[in-house]
Amino acid sequence: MKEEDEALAKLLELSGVSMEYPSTGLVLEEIYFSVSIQDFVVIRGRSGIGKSSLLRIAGLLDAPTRGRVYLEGHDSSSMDDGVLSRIRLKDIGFVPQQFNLIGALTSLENVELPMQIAGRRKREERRTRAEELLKSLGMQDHVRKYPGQLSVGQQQRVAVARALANDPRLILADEPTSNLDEESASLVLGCLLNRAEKSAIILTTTSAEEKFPSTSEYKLTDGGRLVRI
Amino acid sequence: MSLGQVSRILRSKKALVPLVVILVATSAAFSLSSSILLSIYSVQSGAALGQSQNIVVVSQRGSSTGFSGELPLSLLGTLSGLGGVEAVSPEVFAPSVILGGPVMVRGVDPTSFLQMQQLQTLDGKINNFSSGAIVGKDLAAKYHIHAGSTVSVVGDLGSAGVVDLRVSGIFSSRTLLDSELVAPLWVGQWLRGFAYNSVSLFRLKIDPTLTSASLVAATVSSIVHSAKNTTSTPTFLPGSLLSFLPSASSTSDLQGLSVLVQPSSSGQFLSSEFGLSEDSVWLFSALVFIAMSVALFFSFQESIESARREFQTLRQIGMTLRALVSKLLAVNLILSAIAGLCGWVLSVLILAVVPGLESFQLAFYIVRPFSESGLGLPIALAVPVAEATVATFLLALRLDRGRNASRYWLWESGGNNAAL
Repeated sequence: MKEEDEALAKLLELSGVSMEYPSTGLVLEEIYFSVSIQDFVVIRGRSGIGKSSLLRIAGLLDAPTRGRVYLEGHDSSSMDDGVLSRIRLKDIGFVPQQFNLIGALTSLENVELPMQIAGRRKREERRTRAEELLKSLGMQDHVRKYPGQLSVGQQQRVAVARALANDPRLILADEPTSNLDEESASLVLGCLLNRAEKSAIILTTTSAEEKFPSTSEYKLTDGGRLVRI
Repeated sequence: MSLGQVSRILRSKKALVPLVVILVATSAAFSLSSSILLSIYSVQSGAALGQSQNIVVVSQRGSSTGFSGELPLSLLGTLSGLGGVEAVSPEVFAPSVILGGPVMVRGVDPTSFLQMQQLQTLDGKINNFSSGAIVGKDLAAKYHIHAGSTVSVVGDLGSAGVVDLRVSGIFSSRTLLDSELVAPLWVGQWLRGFAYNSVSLFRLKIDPTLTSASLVAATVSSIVHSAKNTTSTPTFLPGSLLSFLPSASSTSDLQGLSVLVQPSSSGQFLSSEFGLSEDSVWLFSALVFIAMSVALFFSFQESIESARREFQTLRQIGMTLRALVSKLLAVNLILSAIAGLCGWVLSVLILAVVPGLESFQLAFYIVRPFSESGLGLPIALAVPVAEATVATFLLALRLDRGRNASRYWLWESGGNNAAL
């Protein structure tokens, strides 16, 4: 009973996860790692070492070559596309390194998208919520602009707002401050920290020095191992 | 996510415009080719002989076409006496020339012929042409012939005879008969070089409740077979114009004769004269279909592939594959239906405007693709819609790599490790 409670307390658990690509070989090896609500985990590592791969596995976008990913004790390998999609939609907020904004939609529409797909809110509510999120990231003057009309930093902030739209319990941010100036980085971090009470946050960075108000920090080594710092 | 947003994504990739152009062009091509092929097929399928459920054609077995055989006129009596046969029309087909153009002259017994054929009078009188001719509306329109005109007809096969005919009326039959000149039997025989006691074929009007084509075939074969083994066969001729013809000995005429009920008719004629077989027509349509289908599939592929990154983002956000496919399918179906309609309208305009397409001469018949263009609509709509459905499903499945989406990202970034 106690083990079951512990498993449920862990929002996400990676157990012996390895990832190997045909083109690049082994990227992640035997990773054991878990996060719970209110955790703010920072994963450091140089560029191209496999941080994005780790986040995509945690975000249920990729299946690991070996090992298991558990969500509140449930093995994700036994979940079908519908369940995985629903979890990604409602419980996971993903900030990709390349933003992946949809160029044909405005900033506002990009942020509305997860709410629209989830069918959670009425149109006016969605719009208000999206505007609030963008405003909290200093983007209130750019809601009608398309991604192509925004700077890299502004696109990054739209991507953060989109990730937070459905109030996810797990936020995965792939180098969210790497393209931002100090002020924008501070806004983004502040926005993420506002969720820290109700969410678990995993953030990756290439910087060895940048300070984050984290609860724990790890380093991804060249051998694809995750080491606690 | 709304359909409008999905179409905006596709539109932003600039692959939608080529797709729409190809869809419209494909639909127009399908509609055009189907209209033309259907009209050609109507010639091919024996419509010229008027074969139908209650019209049976008896011609000479072994002749290359239904037109080109030669049967003794004396068979008329035998055929008229068959049970369930309401009328028999002996006919001679004489490929001829009028005003420098080809025409099929059909020599008939007017009384018998008009019993067989429903004709609508457009000009003059058509119920009595024992000394003149009546002309189908398409032929009349082509050569500006009207009631009261006199036309010189030159025999093309078997005879170099020339005959001047006064046109007593113009008719409409809504069949290929509208391309023909119908004259008394002797005119056909003269132009064809036949003796007075020979015809090309007989058309029989039967009562389908009393007999059938196969029963007629069996009976005629049996009579012909028994005629070869007996010395006398009762014969009679009905009244009308034919009554002046001498009643030739049926027995001697039927000996050595083999008849065929329901010949392949004009299809074989077109095949032998113009190399245009039914197979070649269908092969042509199949080639058009395959070529257009491939072009359409690649257009859909280009459209979907160009927005692959956006669709993958939607999957990443949490859109299910089923939802994504259904949205794509809906957009592609609407697009295909609209483009199909536009393509059909375009094809109708092309048929109406391009000289020589609204109607053209095929052998001795005037083919009217425009009149078949209504049938092109379902084809113009169905093909793109079916293609859209198949292509969307096939391509959408390729969009998804299950939970190995990183393969996609690696592929997208040129196979390098940018995604790592």
